[in-house]
Amino acid sequence: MENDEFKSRLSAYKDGELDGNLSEKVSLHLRNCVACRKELAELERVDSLVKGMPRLEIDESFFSQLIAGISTKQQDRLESAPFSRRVFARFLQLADSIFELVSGHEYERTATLDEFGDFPPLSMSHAFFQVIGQQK
Amino acid sequence: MAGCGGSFPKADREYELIKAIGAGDILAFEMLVKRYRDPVSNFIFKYMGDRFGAEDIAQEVFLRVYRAASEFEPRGKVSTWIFKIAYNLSLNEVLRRSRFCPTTDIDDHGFELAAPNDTGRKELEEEVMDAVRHLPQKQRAALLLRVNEGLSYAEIAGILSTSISSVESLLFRARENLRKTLIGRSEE
Repeated sequence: MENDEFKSRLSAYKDGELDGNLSEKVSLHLRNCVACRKELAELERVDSLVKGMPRLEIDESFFSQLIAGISTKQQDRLESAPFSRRVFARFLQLADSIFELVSGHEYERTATLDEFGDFPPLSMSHAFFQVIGQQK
Repeated sequence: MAGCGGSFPKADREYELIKAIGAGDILAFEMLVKRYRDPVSNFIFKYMGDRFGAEDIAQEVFLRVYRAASEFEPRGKVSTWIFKIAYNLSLNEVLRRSRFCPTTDIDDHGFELAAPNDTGRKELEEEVMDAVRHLPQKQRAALLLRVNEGLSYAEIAGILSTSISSVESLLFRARENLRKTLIGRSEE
């Protein structure tokens, strides 16, 4: 191999990506070639400069922003969905809310009813907690 | 996380993670994001040379990972798949920007100025950022994926949709270009 050809393989040699035979040839050449040793040292210097480039510090809110982005995009997709799908999605949301309302035991486990006593007297929420309160 | 290539757990564990994300497991998604957000964001930042754009693109990368997780086929490594998305999105953004403002050179990289005693180091960092930013697209991507992320030539070839011998040539030319720009200049 000519000197220039050795030089062109130094980058892969440095990365350990040459096959065994070729890597050995380059190692032998390096022992006797000052120019290639200098070139290899310079390539290593280049790599250390690239590694030393400023790093981007990622904000801790990265994941929460991501989740918010996912919810927004899902909402956007729902808004642009066909009418029947939008109606069905709303129906599912309503069914979910009703299920949460009627499964009173979930609330008993998580908080006392007194915490929910400040709803306006004519509101649905007031009526709901009145019923649950009586059941208790 | 400096080199993600060698430090990741076994590939099959990452497939499990992707499978869980596909099934809607938010905790698995959070785990994957925590593992990859630094290397992915930094790759994009160094590739584009712009902090603010990098954060947005990184968000978009993980959004796409989340959406495509249920259809992921374990033909390659998960890390390669994620970096391929990151590379494609960054490249699209760079091309889009060059279409709208072809002569604009982004001088403000978006990171804070160093303290006065760090001025020399800061100048060198900016010089390196500038030199890397002026490398051709594929040379730049190959160099960053190899040097900063420690990916193998085969993995880089998968990300850039090219052959292993092309990756070798890209890396050789990228390093030669930087050597002439950075080391050649400092020796003058």
